[in-house]
Parts: sequence; structure tokens; C-alpha cells
Amino acid sequence: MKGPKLWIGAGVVGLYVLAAILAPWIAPHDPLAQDVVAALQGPSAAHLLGTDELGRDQLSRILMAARIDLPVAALATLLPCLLGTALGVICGYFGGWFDAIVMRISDLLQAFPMYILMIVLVFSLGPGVRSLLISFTAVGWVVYARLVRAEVLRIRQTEYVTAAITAGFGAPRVIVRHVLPNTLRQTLIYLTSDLVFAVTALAAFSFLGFGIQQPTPEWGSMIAAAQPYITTQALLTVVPGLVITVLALGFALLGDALQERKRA
Amino acid sequence: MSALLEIENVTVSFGRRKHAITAVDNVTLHVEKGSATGIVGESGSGKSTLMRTVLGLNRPQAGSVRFRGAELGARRDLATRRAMQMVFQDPGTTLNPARTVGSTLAEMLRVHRVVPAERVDARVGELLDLVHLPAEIREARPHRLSGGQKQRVAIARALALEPELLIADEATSALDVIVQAGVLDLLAELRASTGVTLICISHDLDLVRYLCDTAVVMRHGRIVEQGPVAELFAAPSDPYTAELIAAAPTLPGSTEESVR
Amino acid sequence: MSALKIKGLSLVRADGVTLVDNVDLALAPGETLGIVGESGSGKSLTLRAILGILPAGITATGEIACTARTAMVFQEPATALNPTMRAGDLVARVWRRHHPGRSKADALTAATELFEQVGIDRAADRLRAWPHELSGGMRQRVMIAAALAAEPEVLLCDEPTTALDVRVQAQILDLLRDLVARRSMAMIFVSHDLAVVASVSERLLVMRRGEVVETGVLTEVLAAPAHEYTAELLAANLGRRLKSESRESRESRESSESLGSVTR
Repeated sequence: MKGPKLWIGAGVVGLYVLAAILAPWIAPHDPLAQDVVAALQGPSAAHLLGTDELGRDQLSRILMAARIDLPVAALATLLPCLLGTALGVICGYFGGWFDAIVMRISDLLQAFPMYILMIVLVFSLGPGVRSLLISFTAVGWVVYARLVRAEVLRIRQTEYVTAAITAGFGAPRVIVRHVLPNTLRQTLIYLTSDLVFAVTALAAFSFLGFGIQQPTPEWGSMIAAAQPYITTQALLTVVPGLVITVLALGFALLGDALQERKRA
Repeated sequence: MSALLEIENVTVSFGRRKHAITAVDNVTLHVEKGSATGIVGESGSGKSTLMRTVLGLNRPQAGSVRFRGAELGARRDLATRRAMQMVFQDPGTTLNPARTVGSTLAEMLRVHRVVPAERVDARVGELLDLVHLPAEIREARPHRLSGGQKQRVAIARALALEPELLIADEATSALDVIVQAGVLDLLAELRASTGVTLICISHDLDLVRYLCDTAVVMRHGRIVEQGPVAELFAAPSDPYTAELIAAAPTLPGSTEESVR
Repeated sequence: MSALKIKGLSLVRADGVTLVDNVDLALAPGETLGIVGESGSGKSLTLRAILGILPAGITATGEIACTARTAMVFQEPATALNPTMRAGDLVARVWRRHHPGRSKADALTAATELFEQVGIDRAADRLRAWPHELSGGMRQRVMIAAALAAEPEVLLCDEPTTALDVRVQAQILDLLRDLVARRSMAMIFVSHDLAVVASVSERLLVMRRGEVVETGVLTEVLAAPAHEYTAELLAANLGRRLKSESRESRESRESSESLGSVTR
């Protein structure tokens, strides 16, 4: 049962990555080239997915958008993961006042609705990739820190860590060689499911105008731009929407498969 | 013979003042160099806590621990740490699941520079041989090993540092009987060949009789009786010891009386 | 004329691995049978098959003919007892299930009697105790009382003393021996510890990797094991080893003494 999930998930994600890498070569048109005369056309041989309100080729824009959405989504999970893991390990291994402070801050952050907190942050920092990443990191580290901290507390009690301590190994060695590697699996599983959130949240922010700005092709902002024409050219909103959904599904399947593998 | 380890009036307690639990209560114990001492007691008797204190994993509230005549504090140099090693109870968590057997052993040798770097590989082979494990096991990760094999690797890991004192904390109690007998014979053999001083913590009186020459009986954090194994088991002076001996299940035909 | 008869019992896991292979077993009324084996020998699973409480995904084939009422005592009294139920209520509830139509007051009286029978002093007080207020030995006595409430003709014991300290173990073994004799119950006692099994059984069954390697009258099997695995088990028993060693050392002492007398 875990077989197909893993392969479908990995296949979908792999396909997106491939599309992002090859986009400049396989995109039939310049994604920024406007042709107002040919605006809002339906699918044709020249424009397989039609054109948008400025006559830009929709297929090329979707392909090129992968080069923005994928790396930004990856960074938006990786940065909080790194920050959270570092804090979680220090808190779990050493405890004490640092642990107490970090955990109180994380309590505070978790008490707020996550989306609202992120919107407030992005709004005050101004739109753009940089402020998106800052707000994702500032909010997202909490779960990683708690997850890793709990794992470290468990692993600290194991006999192999006690053996490493009685062998006189210093804390850095015990942490890096004996504790951290055994937390990675749990973190990786969460990271995969966190990507689902990052992909959809990123699109949502761009849709609301806080994220990546036009004319840079990005799935969320494409949906926003195509919104007025939803009755006449529905494909302009439907296709980017589907693209986001399928990618999120791919990550979700991957996360599920990893979770099941861990249990087995 | 001289005392390798001198535990003097050690008290260890946990928790805040009001709710403190005294795990080890004013214990004095001397362990001779080259001897094998068995510490027996029921769960909660403080036997493991006492040994964790010797290793520096707990701090005593009172008393002192001297090793090779020098007082041991909270901070210990690498040489002191190297000189006392422990083998633990649970084969399931005794080895780091992320590392191969070979890298676990090699790390010990490298960090302590037990042998020159170019000799590490060969020494890992010797260690595996010492605990009677096949050389191929070097590449294996712990989940591929049986419980007995894991405990043997744990013994090899401890011996890699060539310690003067080896503490076995219920090292065989999670193993099947036949495997247990094999590991106990290995410990006896290693003691004879390396001259390491052995302390065995066990709930099993027969194990202590089998492996050790001195027995220490602990209860509620105190030592109730200690002495040479033969004497202590033949004529226990404390009623608790007698009770423990009487309670131990024996196979028909394995008591001293039935021999006669 | 047997209380329990198993013929050709095989237990197969979902992935096709055979856990118990073609086990035959017969238990006469009032008889005590000890099953000894290492972890993974299938001894506990066999017991569970008798009660019909096999873990999910295991299919049983073969015949289990059990005309007698059975009850089971488990290894871990800490988890076998419901932590939100008073000890007396638990026993009373089991008793009422097997004595339909009787009042709660009757059940509590019966529970008090059962507590006294299993050697719980201040039985009336202890009825109201929560499981966490009881020691391991007391909890196991409560479990035995609950088993007795079903008025079993066959008592199944799965490593009931393994989690207990040696003095408490001796008390529980005494209790079981006494109860079996007094109630003329049959008992199957499963353990990895041959000495423990031997102390409560008339007949012995040795299992290894899902198969029965030897069965017979306890004293005969111990005196002259027919299978080499049984012999190995006996040889691994430290008490036996100590005996043979002391005999050896005595013999060597005697021989050196006689040598000494010759030279003198």
C-alpha cells in the first residue's frame, strides 16, 4: 500500500522539479512578452493554454512560475526547519533557562492564529519574497523546535547517549553524532507535510497581493489576475489552481508514505 | 591488592527538599583491583544509582568517590572517564541506530587515540574477535543484530577504551537464557584475559554467584550485607539476604542439598 | 477427558510468516502445565489463541477444543489494570459478568472474599484503592482475583511474575500453587524462566521457534531431556552450572587431597 503512494508522490514532485529546471527551454514563448491584440484567447496551436489579459502565453507563464514557486516554497519550509531544529536541540539537550525562554516564546506564538500572524508580519514588512520568507520562518520554527526538542529528550535517555557521555565525548560530538541523526527522520516526515502548507500558503499570499508581484509569473498571482475573466476564460484561473493542487497532493502523498514507512 | 574504587559515605537523593527521595543512603564500598563485585537488590534498591554516581552521571549530595586513590569530582579528565566504562541493560537502545557497528567502535578508538589512526581498522577487527562476533558484523547497523549480538557489541565498545573498571548494569537480564549464559561466560573470560575489575549489578543472585567473588546486597539505598560470595550465600547474616536467597527460583536438583 | 485440547494449531502472520507451527497440547482437569521458551518461541501466542485474543492480522488453523471456563493473568499488571477503575470494582465487574442477575452488593462481597483468597490484607479497604496506589505485587494479586472471579477451570498465566521482584515473585508463585490445589483448577503457566515454570508445573512443554520440541512429566524431562534444545536450556541455567561447578571443584579438591595423602 505504501508503494504506490511513495512513487506517485515522488513522481509528481519530480515532474515539477524537472519542469522548473527545463522551463526556459521548453516554454514556447517569452512569459513576459505581451501581445494585447491576442489577449484572452482560448487554447490554440500557438498558445496551448491560451493567453492572459495582456496576451501573454499562459503555458509559458505556468512553467516559468515553477521556477519561483518551488524554490520559495522549499526555502519557506527549510529556513524554519533549520532554525527550529537548532533551537530544539539546544533546548532538549541542555534544558535550563534557555529552554524555558524559548518554550515560552513558542507558547506565545502558538496562541495566535498562524495565518493572521503571518499576514500581519508580511503587511508590516512589505510585499516580496524576502518578507514572505521572514514571516514563514518567524512563525514556522515553533513546530520544528517542539518536535525536535521532544525527540532529543527521548534520545537523551537512551543508553547509547549515556555510553557516549561516559566515554567522555564532548557535548558537540554527542549532539552532532549521536542525537541529531536520530531526530532527522521525524523532522523529514514533518517537513514533507509542511511543504504542502508552504505551497498553498505561498499561493494564497500572492493571490492576496502580499507575495510575488506581477509581472513575475507566479501561480497565486496569476489566479488573482485572471479572476475578472472567470466567466469568459475559466481556464486562466482553473489551470494554475490545478497546478497548485496537484503539487500539494504530491507532497502530501510523499509525507504519508514516509510516515507509513516509519511505522512499518 | 589495593582498592581501585573507594566509595565513602555516599548519599544521593533526587527531587526538591520537601519531596526528596534518597536513592542511595550513606553507602561505603571498596572495590579491590582485579576483583569481581556483584551488587544485588530489588528494583529501587539504589544499585544502579550508586554506579551512575561512580560514573559521574549523578552528583552525590554527600560523601566522596575515589578512583585509583584520587577523588572524583563533577569534572573529570578524559583519562579518568576512559578508565571506567559501563555496559547497559537494554539491547534495544544500547547502540546508536544511525551508525554501523564498525563506526561505533572506531569512534571510541579515535576520540581517545587508543591506537594510532592507521591501526583503528585492525583494532576494530580485534575487538569484534574478542567478543566472538564475526568480522562481517562491522558493516551492520544495530537493527540487523540479535539482542545477544548487540550486548556483545556494547561490551566491545566498553572494552575499546581498555578500562580498568567495567560496570555491567543488568547487562544480560533482557536476553534469553541460553544467550545470557554465553554473554556471562564472555564476561568471565574477558576478566581473566584483560584483568579488568568487574562490577555487576543484578537482581539475579545466581548470576552474582556465578560471575563474582564479592557480593553486596542493597536494600532501600543501603548496603545490608557484603562479603565473599561463598560465605554470603552459604550463611547470610542478614535476614533480608536470607529471604532473597530463599525466594530465588531454583530448578529441582540444583540446590546444594540435593547434590549431597 | 481433557479440559483443553489443541490439535495441529498453526498461527500465520499476514505476511506469510509462521509464528506457531502445528502445536498439539492436551490438558487434563486439575493438571498444571508449564510452557517454557525463548522470546519469539510462540508460547504467549499459543496462550492467546486459546483465549481467542490473537493480535490482528494473525490467522489460526487447527483445532482448539476447550470445554472448560478459562481466565488469564497477564505479564504486566501495570497496564493490564484499567487506571480509572478501583481495584474492587474491576473484580466485582468481572464477577457480575459471570454471575448474571446478582446485585452489586453481592459482587462486592464476592470481591472481598476473592481479595482475601489472593492474600490481599485489609481487603475491605483495598477494594477502594486505585491501581496506581498498589505495588506491583498487589496489582498482580488483583489481576489474579479478577481472573478467579470468572471461576475458571483453567487458569492461563502469561509470564505473570516476570515484571516482579524476586521476593514478590516467590509470593505470587506460592499463591498460584496454593490456589490451583485448593480450587482443583488446571493451569497453563508460560514463562521464559525454566526454574519459575518448574516450580509450579507437573508437566512441561518446551517450545522453540513456534514448534513444540519436547513435552513430558516435569521431573522426567529435567532428569533426562530428550531434545538437545532442552538440554541446552538446562545447561544455561545458572543454578545448575553452579551445582556442577561446585561438584567439580569439590571433586578436584578431593582428588588433590587424595593425591596429597599418596605423596605423604
